[in-house]
Amino acid sequence: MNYFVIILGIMMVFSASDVFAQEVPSWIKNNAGWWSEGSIGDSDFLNGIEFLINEKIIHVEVNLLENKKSDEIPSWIKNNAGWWSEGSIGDSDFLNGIEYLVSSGIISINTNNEISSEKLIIGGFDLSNTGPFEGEHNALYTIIMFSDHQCEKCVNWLSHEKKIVTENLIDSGIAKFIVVDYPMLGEDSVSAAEATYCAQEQGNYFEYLSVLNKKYAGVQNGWASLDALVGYAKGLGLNSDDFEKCLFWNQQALRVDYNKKVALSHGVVGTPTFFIVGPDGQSEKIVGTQPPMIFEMVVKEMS
Amino acid sequence: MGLFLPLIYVTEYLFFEPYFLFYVAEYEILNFLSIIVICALTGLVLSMSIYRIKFLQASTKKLRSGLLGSIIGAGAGACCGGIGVALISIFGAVGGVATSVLTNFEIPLRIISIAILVFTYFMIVKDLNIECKVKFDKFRD
Repeated sequence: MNYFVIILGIMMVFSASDVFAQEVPSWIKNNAGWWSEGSIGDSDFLNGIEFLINEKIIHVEVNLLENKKSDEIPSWIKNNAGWWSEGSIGDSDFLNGIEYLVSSGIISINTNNEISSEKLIIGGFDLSNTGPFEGEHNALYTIIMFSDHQCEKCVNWLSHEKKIVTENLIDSGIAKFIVVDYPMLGEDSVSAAEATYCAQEQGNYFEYLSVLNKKYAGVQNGWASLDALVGYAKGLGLNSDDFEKCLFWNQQALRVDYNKKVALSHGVVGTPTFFIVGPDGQSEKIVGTQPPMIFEMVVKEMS
Repeated sequence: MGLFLPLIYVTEYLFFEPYFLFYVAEYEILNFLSIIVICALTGLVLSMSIYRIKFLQASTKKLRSGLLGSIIGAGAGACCGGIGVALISIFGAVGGVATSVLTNFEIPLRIISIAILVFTYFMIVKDLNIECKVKFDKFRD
């Protein structure tokens, strides 16, 4: 009886691996076989794989920020391709090799929205990949807010105190305001940050940010899940296909990650944390949900 | 005061930078009041518990329940600021879950904390009434 249970278990494991065996279209196997035999060159094979990744026909998980550039294809990848074409190893082993090629920069993938190469640095803060500014671009002062969309205090500040800051400093042209992501309260924080940039692609950054503040309901409890974020986009009348494509394919992930690194590089440990940057590039740090009066006093002191 | 000052600093009602400031926004009044109640009850419960343990050699059971109430009350709402980040960075996923629970159930947790402290207070008062009763019969003899 025990042997029967073990055999049944082994069969289930193998049948499960068959279910996942359709990760890569089978016709690519022929190409992999030819490549391993030397019938087709490296560039032909790699160009083909690159096309398939960019067209989302095969999906690989790669952390592009940890790339180590290399030009040489390791021999084990070619061997894997040959064994995979013969059926000796599974799809996942073959994909490991492809992921290595992407990570090492041999295959370049199109993330559709790479981080901006144009640098925008104000007072030592790299704002190249943030959302748009609020207020006049030539305002002398810049208020930078490091925020997490799941942080209750951030939402409270944006919903209450920000109105007075807008009236007294932003609308009057004294300062411009910008939110920089520092998602630290879980996956939904990251998704929400990405969603704001997906909305920005359709010209609705501020509207989407406002919806997120209104819909706030806590930390990691579903209000900022992927489905909910898509729902808010639909509610705003955004193109849901484009929005879903942007969000589900993590097209804005690099921007969010970049901004998080900017926050860490300036010693931000909690949210909300503000920096007021003056005309000479000097900056003053304000931690927590402090009242508008403090912002006005800091600006006054800097002038 | 020993609990009140750190708590209002952590919950961002007291600021030292860029200016020294004590500020409670209108939408935070309920939270602030709950902190005052928790701190006052903690002061009462802890001092009475310590008196019982030191002078009447009573057990530490009620002190422990008082401390539990204080810890729940103090931890509620530990979000976004230093405590939330510390919890996440030190305890990883477990810290993340703790932060989300403490944030999502801030008010219910404070109510539970107050309930525990009030219950402990009345139990201690009841015990003290028995333990500290002056036996007049002894003096008459």
